This record gives sequence, C-alpha cells and structure tokens, in this order.
Amino acid sequence: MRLILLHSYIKTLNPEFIHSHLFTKNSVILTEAKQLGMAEREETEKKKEAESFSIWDLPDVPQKLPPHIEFQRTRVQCNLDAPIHTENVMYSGAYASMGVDNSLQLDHFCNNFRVEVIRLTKDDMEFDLIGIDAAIANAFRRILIAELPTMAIEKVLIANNTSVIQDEVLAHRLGLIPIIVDPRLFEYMSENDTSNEKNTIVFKLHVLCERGGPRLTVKTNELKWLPNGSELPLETKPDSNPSSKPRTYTSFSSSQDLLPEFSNNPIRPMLDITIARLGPGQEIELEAHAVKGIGKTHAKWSPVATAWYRMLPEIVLLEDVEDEDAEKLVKTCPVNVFDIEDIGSGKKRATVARPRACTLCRECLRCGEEWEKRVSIRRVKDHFIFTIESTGALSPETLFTEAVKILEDKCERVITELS
Amino acid sequence: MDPQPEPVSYICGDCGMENTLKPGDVIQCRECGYRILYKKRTRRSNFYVKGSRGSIVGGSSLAVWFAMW
Repeated sequence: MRLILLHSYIKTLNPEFIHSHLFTKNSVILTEAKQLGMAEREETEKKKEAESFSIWDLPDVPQKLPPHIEFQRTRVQCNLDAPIHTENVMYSGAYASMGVDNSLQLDHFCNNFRVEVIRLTKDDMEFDLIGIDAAIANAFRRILIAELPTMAIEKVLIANNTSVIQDEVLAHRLGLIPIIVDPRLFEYMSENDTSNEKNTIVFKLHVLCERGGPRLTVKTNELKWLPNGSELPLETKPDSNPSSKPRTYTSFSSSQDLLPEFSNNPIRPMLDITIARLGPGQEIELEAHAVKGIGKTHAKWSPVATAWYRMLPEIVLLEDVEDEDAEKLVKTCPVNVFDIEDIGSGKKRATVARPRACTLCRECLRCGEEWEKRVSIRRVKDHFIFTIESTGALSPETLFTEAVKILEDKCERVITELS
Repeated sequence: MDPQPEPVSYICGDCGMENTLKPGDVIQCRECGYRILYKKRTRRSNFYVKGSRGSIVGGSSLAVWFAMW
C-alpha cells in the first residue's frame, strides 16, 4: 500500500506527467473560450498559464490541511488530565485521502530549519532547534550523553592510603573527576595497548595530614599532572640491566608537555572538588591514569552534566480575560507567564507575555471549570529548546558540533552498508 | 639460631603516629597510649586489579583499582 502511494507520488513529480496535466487543462480552457466566443484571449490565457503554473495551483491538489488536522499534526495539546496529539505523523501518505502530501522534502527542511542560540556561557548553552523531528533532536541528546569521548581516570595505583575512605571508593571518586583536556588530542587505549603519551594522562596525588594539626580536605587541586608518565617503578627481574632506566607502569617515549597544545596549557582536573578528608596522621599516596572513553561504557566519560530539550510551550487565551479574572490568572501562574495590559476606560486584559517560561504546571487550568475553555496550553512539536551543560572538557557549542559529526558518520555508515 | 628479628613499624589507630615494635614489646602507642596499632601497607604487595569486570589479576606490585563501578 505504502509503495503504491509512494509510487503514485513520484509519478506526480514526473515532469511528463505535469506536462500532460497542463495540456489537458489548457484544452479545457480552450473549448470553453471558444464556446463563449472569446477566441482572441486564447493566446494570452495560454501564456499566462504556462508562466505561472505550479502543480499546487491545481484545484484537485489542496495545499493545506484543514486547520484542526494541522493543529493535531503540529501541536501537543496539554489538557488538565493528560496531553493529547502527542504522536508525530511520519507516514508520507498519512493525509493522502485529503490530497496532502506528508512526505519529507529535503528542500523544505533546508529552507525551514533554524538554530537560534539563546544563551551561551563557558560551560552552559541554550539554543532552539526549529523545524526538526523529535527523533533527530533525541539522537543528538543521546549522542551528547553517551557517545562523545572524554578523558577520565580509569586506573588508580594506590601506594598508600591510611584515610577512612576505602581504596575502591577513593578510586571511584577519582574516576568521576572531569579532566580539562581536549579528548580529540588522544587515542583510545585498547586492551592490548600499552600506556603511552598518546593514550594516557597520569596524575599523582600525595597528601599527608600533619599530626597534631587540623583535619585536611583534599581537593582536586592536589592532583599533579605527570607529563612524563608514571613514576612508580615496575618490579623488574634481577637479571635486567641495572644501568637502564627503571621501567614504570607507562612507557612514554616523549614528554606530553613538549606538545604545543599542552606546553602553555597544562592538563588539569576540574578544580575545587573534594576527593577525601584526612584526619591527623593520615596519608594518601597514589597515581591515577586517565584514558579516553565514552559515556556508553561508564557515565564518568560523559562530557555533559545535562543535555536535554523541551518543546516550545505555546499558550493561547481563547477568549478575552479581563479585570478580576485577569488578575486571578496572573496570580495563579507561578512562573509569571501572563501580564496585564490596559485597554483603556479602566479595563484590564490578560496577555501571554512570557510563554517560554511556562513549565506546563497547568495551574491556570485548575482555577475552575470555565478556565479550561479560556486557556489553551500547547507545545510546538518541531521546536526544541535544547540545553547543554558541559562538564568542562569541551565548550558546549563544540560538543554539539561534535555530536552532529557523529550522527553524520553514522548516516554515512548506513549508506555504505546499503550501497 | 634465628637471626634477630627486624623491628616492624606500626601506625597508631588513633593519632597516626609511627611506632617501632620488637617482639615482646607492649602493644601501645608511645605518643597517646592507644592500644590499637595497624601494620603499614607494604609497597610491594600483590598486584590487585578490581573493577566492574570483576577480574583479579596476579602481577607484580601495588594495588591497582579500576575507577569504575
């Protein structure tokens, strides 16, 4: 069924088909004109038709859906009990019976898709994705959370830990610390790889709380980057050459701080995060090895604290809300969506001033039965307010462009698989 | 006969002071008198790898924990 419809749709786009349609229509006009004795207008009619012809002008192809169907297609209606029309109509022939084509048009998407940045700070961003399907917006969200790589501490070598926090808990806490470094400068370390300067970042932590002093809070500022790799010697066999450098847990062939990217921008963890608290006489001595990974493996590699979206709220006052009712409406809304405007002669009218602030709490619909008829809360299905909060490794706008690249790669993989 | 046993360092469970004890000594911190002493962590222990994979691998030295749960 779908194939037939698709086929017929393709047929309508066929230039020959359009031409034949045009021809028959013109001949109808011709006969009418002759009957009315207006033969002299024949030529001009014909020219005009040919110049301004579009398939959409034909009477049997209505351009638009009836308003109530269009509303169901583009809006989610948030009623007091539950939202309705939540589904997205994807099927190309969904409105075929009304003569409306619902297939996805690339040029239509290209002309209508918009991105508007609302807020952009160092690690926080809000922007609008307008004219996109929920599936794609969600794909970006999921890629941001689970598939963008960062560096995170994976191995912790504990030389001494007399603190009250256990080795494994300490290791877990270290793993969750964001490492401020561009992960694109590093490679993934697979199971058989040895740690080298291209896939591992090494940090050292050695803190001792003085006896007789106050308790000590160990912050991430104490983690010291070791650009030359591990300093802990591996136990070597007695027959090995004593003059050679002792082997360590990493085999760096060059120092990381010689690289131009790091020479005046040393790698550091996110500062001011508490790792542990030490009592007098307690000590922690360890080395932490950070590697590249993705959030799918473990959330510690997720580059975002949050990545989420919501559909744009749309609030419509179906009838004029005036005077006391207007005051009541303004007062009920906890996020101040509504405002009051003066309409002269001492009358006041409620207006929707800040629809974006709406959290869809529906308090305004709960004022009484008649309010459900006065206020309509909707969400625009193809308008997403996207928020990205970075953990610090990459800026939020870079994260989003990287996410787009990953989706692009996935699409290309599908195309090569199919071709 | 047995060679003279090496004195071993212990850490006081209360004040963190290092105490060197020989066999037969009273088990008590010299600083604060606390009677619980802990043995120091050795720098050459079993290579102990533990993490979400749950594998324990024998190796050379130090405790290596996978920072992952």
